Amino acid sequence: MAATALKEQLNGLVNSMFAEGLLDEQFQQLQMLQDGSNPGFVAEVVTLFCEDSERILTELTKLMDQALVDYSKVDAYVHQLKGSSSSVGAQNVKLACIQFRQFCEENNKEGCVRALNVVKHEYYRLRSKFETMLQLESRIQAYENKQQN
Amino acid sequence: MNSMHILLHQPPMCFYRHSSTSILCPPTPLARIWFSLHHDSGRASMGSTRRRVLLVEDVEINRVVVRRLVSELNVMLEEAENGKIAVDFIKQGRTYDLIFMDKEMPVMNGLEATKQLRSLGVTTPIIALSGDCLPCDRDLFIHAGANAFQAKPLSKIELVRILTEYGLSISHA
Repeated sequence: MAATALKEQLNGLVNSMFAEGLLDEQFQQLQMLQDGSNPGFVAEVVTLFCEDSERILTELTKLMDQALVDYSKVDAYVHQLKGSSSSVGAQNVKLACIQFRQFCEENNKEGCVRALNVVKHEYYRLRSKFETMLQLESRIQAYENKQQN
Repeated sequence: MNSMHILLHQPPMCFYRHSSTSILCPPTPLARIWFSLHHDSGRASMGSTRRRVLLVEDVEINRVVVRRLVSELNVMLEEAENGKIAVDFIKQGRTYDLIFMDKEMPVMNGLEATKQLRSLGVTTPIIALSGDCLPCDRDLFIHAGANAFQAKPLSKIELVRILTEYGLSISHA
């Protein structure tokens, strides 16, 4: 069945994300919170995470482009991103944020610029896989709805 | 009605603007009792089995996850985006059976909010939450008046453990 093949593809993708360190056990906690009464919970949280992350990365880029960097503002944004990535299970993004905060504490501009690039790299890598994951989930849902009808 | 119930119900100051006096004044004991009898909003669960929990957390995703975690439990969750909103809730007369307090928040952080809540006479258990589990953070929070310190993100098992430990009945909704 097509739905079975899609589910296998989805499981394979998610497993590879765990294996690569993109996701940690917190993502499994989110998956466990998804059920019949909340079928779109993971998609909701992932979508929210991506929207929030992109807003934060845009602000961070602006702040780091300033001649005089306001490290307290930078740190506040990185703190937010660290918090949300932790809640979603976005392990590599979270770890990159931890490193970024250390550079903020040191008022190290060069370190912060490098750290921001790492955060962006890890985020966009994760986002791409999340997009594929949500597309697969959506297709599976469509098949299952069709079968029920 | 016990004295703690009366103490925790602080009528809003606007209530006194409509009284016979035109100046703001602290509530008389009679006024407090009247307010508690007639204003149910913010009452702790007296006679109700549904416990009220306040989550003080600035990051929306974290609130969404905790909201989902408690949705299956017999708990009413209220949310505040920062410590100042939480303190304002208490000043408005709202009461809770448990408060989860994040550490780092804009406007007013969790440490300051905890200190202010304790100075207002709030005895509700406060569980500090933080992504960093540094001993110094834990000590600061406990010194400020928190009852316990918990690492984020909060799992369902940990949430149930905490709610049970502080006497909140966890029958499923």
